[in-house]
Amino acid sequence: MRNLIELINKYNHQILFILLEVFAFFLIIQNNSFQKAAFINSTNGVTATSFLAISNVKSYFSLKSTNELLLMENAKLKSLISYQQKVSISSISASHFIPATIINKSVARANNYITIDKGKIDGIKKGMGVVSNNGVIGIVKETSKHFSSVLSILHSKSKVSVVIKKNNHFGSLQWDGKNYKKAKIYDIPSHVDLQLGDTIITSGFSYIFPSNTIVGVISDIKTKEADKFHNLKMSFIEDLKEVKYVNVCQPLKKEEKELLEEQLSNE
Amino acid sequence: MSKVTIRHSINFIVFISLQVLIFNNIFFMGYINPYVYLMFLFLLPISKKNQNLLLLIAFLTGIVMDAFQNSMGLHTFACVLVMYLKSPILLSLIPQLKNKTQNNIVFSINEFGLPTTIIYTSILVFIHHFALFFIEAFQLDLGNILLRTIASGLVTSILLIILQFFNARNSLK
Repeated sequence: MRNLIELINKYNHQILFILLEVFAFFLIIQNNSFQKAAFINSTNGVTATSFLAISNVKSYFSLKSTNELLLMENAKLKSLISYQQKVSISSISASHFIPATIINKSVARANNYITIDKGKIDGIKKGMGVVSNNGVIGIVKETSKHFSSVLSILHSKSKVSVVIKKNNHFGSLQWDGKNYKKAKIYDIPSHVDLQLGDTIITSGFSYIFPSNTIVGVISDIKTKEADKFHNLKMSFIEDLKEVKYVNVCQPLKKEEKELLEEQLSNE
Repeated sequence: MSKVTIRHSINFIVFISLQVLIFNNIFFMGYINPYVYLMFLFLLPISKKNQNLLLLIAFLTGIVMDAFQNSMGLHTFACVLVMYLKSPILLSLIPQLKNKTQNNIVFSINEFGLPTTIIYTSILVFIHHFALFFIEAFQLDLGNILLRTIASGLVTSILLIILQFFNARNSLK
């Protein structure tokens, strides 16, 4: 026993070092495998409030471009309304949107997160999809009263089901951790005829994102003769580094769909 | 509180805010993200007597950075590692320091010269960045990690060396 105490006394610095590193490592593992945000994350009071203050200051610098964007979107919506009045097709998606502002984000890391300024009070729940006018942004991971943290599409665990617009073949989109402008698309059989510039949209299978939301265009096809599946890269239409205003989708039919699927699996 | 404690507390606030407010928003060429808050760890003295306290301070710094970056544990791991390796690296660069009886060694560019400063700073920065990027991206290829480490590491090292120049000038006055 006395030897042990002496040993601890002698190497207390090394022991403390190892303990702290093990603790840090434990935090990393725990946060990764369970997707559990510990109480120390960017939705807690101090950090989120400071992000909000920074974001308020920054938003003045981009007022002009924001205005232009809004004008463009207005025009687009107007044309959609007139189109609907003519053809009277039921609306493209059955989702209800909650507008939100991004107050913090990253694109340079291997696993990126976004913090938005809407939370439980505004009706945001875990698992909701986040989209912007030009594409898919991510999925809500954690909510607090006034803020939410979003698993960005630029995260190694984000996976989105997508469709090639011109022939309705579906695949899945995943980021490879390199360039924030590009992502990879898997599971599209190699016999499908594709060209550079083909549009990619969401499939809406999961009801997380509304169907027919534009995601990007094919920017690189590297398929070899023997491959079963296409080796595809696409570039996002949305500039994920600059995006500021987003919509959180409230899926109206998600429960109904899940209920139906549950009944099927019970039989 | 002693004068030293106050000075380091101010350093802590200044460098963490610099990092969070400015440098976390900078991405040169898509993935160069300098970590200037390391300067706070560099300015802390190397002291045999207080070595455990210094490790705990590094731990705290890491936790605060992680809270702002949503990267639980990553910065904590890298910071504690850097703090632990600081004194062995300095002692192996300047062996004559071992014989000195002084308790606190404060690294300064005036005392140790530019070449030593450059080597010392860049070794620690590269260790920090490599640990950070390696743990962050378990599944990514080594080439990508090394590219990120070298690119970000170079920028951080240059910034830190410039900051040390300013620090040396201030302490002369």
